[in-house]
Amino acid sequence: MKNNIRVERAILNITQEELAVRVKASRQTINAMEAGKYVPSTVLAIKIARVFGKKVEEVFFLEGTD
Amino acid sequence: MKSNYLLPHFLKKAGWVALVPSLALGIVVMYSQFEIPGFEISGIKSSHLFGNGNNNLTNELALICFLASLFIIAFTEEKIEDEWVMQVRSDSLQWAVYVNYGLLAVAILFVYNDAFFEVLVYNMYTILVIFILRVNYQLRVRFNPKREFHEK
Repeated sequence: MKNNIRVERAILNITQEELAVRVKASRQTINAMEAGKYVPSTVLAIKIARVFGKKVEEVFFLEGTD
Repeated sequence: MKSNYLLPHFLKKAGWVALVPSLALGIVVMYSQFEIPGFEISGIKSSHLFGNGNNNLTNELALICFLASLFIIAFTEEKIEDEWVMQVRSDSLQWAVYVNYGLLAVAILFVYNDAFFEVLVYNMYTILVIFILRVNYQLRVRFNPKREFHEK
């Protein structure tokens, strides 16, 4: 699964740390997701999408191998 | 919320502090047969496995303290213990078991006699040591955001 957290974060002008605080995750978790090394749980995905004011599908996408 | 079977975060520092003296004690016990004078129990009734007579408890103390400090370091919560950290823990545990038995297999083939006994002593702790190293590498080096390009 891919995501555009980094882009959405830039639009909202918040750091990884600020996003982490808002969704109650660690900075490393945000970092791992942006690096494409971690697929979050549904709960965390929804929380992140809410911070950006978007639907989950607008932040997270399936890719060919999924 | 599902329970995560971890100890509270504030114990982690205590684990690291306790590790130093227990490792030091372990090393002097192992390599200079150090025994704390008088720290023994006497008259253990003979069973073939445990032998007879007085037993100095210094080695038991060293082994238990070292085990306890490694255990505390390994299984206390991180400051923020979220789902990704739990995944890192579970991956690292599997990884540690693989590496541990890989090393043991090599030792079985290439190390003999007294040296092999030494290997077995270390092998009691290698799973925990490898686990701690891997988790800390993932959390504090590989995915540490300070190392990433950090635009605002």
